[in-house]
Amino acid sequence: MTSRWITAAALAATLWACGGGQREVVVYTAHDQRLSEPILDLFEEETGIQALAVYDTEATKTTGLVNRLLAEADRPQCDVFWNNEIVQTLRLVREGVTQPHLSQNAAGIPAAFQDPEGHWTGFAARARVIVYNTALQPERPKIATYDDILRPPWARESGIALPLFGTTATHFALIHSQLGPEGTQRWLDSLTENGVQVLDSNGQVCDAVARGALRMGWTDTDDVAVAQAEGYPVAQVLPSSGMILIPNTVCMIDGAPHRAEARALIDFLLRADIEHLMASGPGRQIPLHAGVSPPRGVLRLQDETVLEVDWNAVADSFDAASELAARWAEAESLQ
Amino acid sequence: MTRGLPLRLVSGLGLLLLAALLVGPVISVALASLMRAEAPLSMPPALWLHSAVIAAVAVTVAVAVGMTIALWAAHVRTPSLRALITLAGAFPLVIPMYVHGMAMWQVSVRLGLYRELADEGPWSDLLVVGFVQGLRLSAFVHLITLAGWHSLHARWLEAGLLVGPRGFVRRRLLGPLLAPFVALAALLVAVISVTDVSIPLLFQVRSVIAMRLWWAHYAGLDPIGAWGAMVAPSLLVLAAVALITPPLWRRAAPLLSARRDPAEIPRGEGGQWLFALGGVIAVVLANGALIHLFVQITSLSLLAETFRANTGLISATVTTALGAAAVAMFAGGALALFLGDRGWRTVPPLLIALVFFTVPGFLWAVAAVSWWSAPGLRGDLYETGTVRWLVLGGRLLVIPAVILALAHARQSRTQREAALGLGWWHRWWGVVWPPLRRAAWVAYALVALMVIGDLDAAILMDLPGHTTLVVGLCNRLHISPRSPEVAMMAAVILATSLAMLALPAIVSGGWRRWREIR
Repeated sequence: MTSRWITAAALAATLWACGGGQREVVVYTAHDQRLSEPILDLFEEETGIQALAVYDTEATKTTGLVNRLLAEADRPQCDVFWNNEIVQTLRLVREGVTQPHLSQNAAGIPAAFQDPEGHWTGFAARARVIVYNTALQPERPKIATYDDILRPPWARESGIALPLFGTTATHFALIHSQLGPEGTQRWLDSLTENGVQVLDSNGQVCDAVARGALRMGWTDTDDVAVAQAEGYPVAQVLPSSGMILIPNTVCMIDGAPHRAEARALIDFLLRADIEHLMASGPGRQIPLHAGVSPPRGVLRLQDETVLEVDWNAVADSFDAASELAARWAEAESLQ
Repeated sequence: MTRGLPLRLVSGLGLLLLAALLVGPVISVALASLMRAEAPLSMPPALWLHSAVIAAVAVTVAVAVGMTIALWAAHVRTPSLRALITLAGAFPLVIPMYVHGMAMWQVSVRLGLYRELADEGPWSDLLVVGFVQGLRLSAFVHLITLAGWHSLHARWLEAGLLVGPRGFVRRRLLGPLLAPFVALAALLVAVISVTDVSIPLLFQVRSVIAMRLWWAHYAGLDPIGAWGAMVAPSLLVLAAVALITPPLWRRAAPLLSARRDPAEIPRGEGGQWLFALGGVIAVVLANGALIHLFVQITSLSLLAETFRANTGLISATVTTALGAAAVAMFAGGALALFLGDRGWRTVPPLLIALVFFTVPGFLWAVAAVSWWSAPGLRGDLYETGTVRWLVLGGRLLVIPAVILALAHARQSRTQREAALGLGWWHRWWGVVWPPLRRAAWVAYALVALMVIGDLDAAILMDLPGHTTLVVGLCNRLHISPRSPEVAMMAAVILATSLAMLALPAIVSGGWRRWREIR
């Protein structure tokens, strides 16, 4: 009896050990699982390469995966990092965690959204927008800059996310890179003086506007898309001075165990038709390829004014901006 | 030895915690420098105070709800009803803290309660956070108190009823005898409450220690140093809870000398069904917000499809939880049994395990990944995926260690001495293990459910291609929190968790059956 069990176990172990023949690529992705999973399924279908994904969640705000990549730097497990923003990717580049890969499929993407050395490439972006409640604000508000709604007469009915997380942190780091530490501190203090509501995430801001608790607020295009799909009376408006565009970014990890498969996945993600697919999905990502025409309701890059952003300067400011925001938020909460 | 052990154990824990509190800053700096971190971040006293308030509310709510349900369950004689109430009491723990908070937040917002409470000022926010945490963590108190109840000596309860009214028995007998277990549960509730960021994040309470640490983590400041600074305030809360309990033991000291035997515990004579029904209704009402998630399930076929579509996630969740629970039970159980008769010397190892438990999951996981993910043998082991069991189980081993240590300390020494002539295996299997079974089930249930509900460490420890259910649920929550899909994912987690709880019964039943066949 016992010998049968041992034989069965040995057979199972042998089969298990022999089962590793399939090509695979390990991808860590901060892009929403519901949006990224179908894309990875399509990649598997087309290439036969199995995409083993590790997903981040909104609750851990991208940094969970970035910390994991940094922690695994001595023995990388991941081949490709697909980030839903750019600053944390630049952080990885600076830490030497990435390796270059210049994809031919990135040819149609503007130079501002890719690293000349190929350490990262941007695609399928979100825009920072101002969401407003159409029941409370039937007329489309005229907004020159993002800061307009943070000043009277809008301020007391406006909200932003805590500038520590997600794209608001990136937006805030941009402000820091432009205003410097003292100017940024004054900017933060003006939020308090003007009575702006500071919530914990873009999603919460959008939710508060959707429910009518706030008239308007800073958020991203994908949050507005979700609220509209759920039937809430919300719309978005862009500042006339230009919008901030935050792209998805993809990079290959230095020492990636499956390099050929990693290149295949990056090339796949940077294809124009994949951008079109992402634009058609619930996240309504904005295509960066020049030739892609997005479905109705999705912003067209060619039709809008995009603010020129020096992402390296933003990355330079990120740590200082985060510390400033953390201390400000702490002081505010203790008042 | 049996007589004074719980008293010395808890008093010793309290004193050591107090000592740790006094030297906390020194420990913090030492830890930070050992881990090559910079000086710890500032932790203003108000943060400590707010965290302590939340922990106090959470402990109060958890103890009140958990003990009530545990005593209900203990008074019911019918085994199936008792099992039903036990599971109902464990229900809040089945749903992850983040999801529990999300559901409570949505319901309170819809009812207009949250805004009204929030408008009362920051203190009301603290109370709300403590209340929400306490409701979920009541399962800790419920299960651990139940484990304590089943270790009580029936004859002393009967004798108590002969010499005094029920109130006397409850006050002077049941209370003191159950107090070590309740205090232990309260300690765990306090630690989890202080280190949790999910509920403060959702309810926008930022002036607490855990949030400061969270921000430091995301701002890339110095989370490890911040945790060092956090050790002291966490221990403050623990010490406060631990130190209020010794007077209770002293009052019950004569009763603690009771010898145990396996006689059946007296149950309530009448109204069992009412008790059972009341218990279930109380739990359901208290967790109405969670039920809110499930009422959106309109199609059973869609639910079945959700199960089919998520078999990979279920498998990843179950293997992670089973592996971590096995590590925690084995290591914690071995520690408890090794320390069994060592009196005050049991305190330092348990205290060290408790301090490990105060480290938030995401920091624990980051440190573990950094250490294991290295060239050579460590890295080879890391790639097998077994490290996540060691890491998650290692953090939680304090739970089985302390529960089993308490239960073991209450065993009759006479019985163990009488079995001295037996071999090691027969002594363990025939004498030591049987009275520990319920406590072991409770410890296993707590560890397994905590691993299933874990989110922060899961992000750092999940194997590629093997996402756990909680990660899947949270990602759906972000996109569409009110969709039936979210409700169905929550139902899948619930079913998986209940299956995990039933696993020991299935295994032991199968083992008996196998032996019968042989």
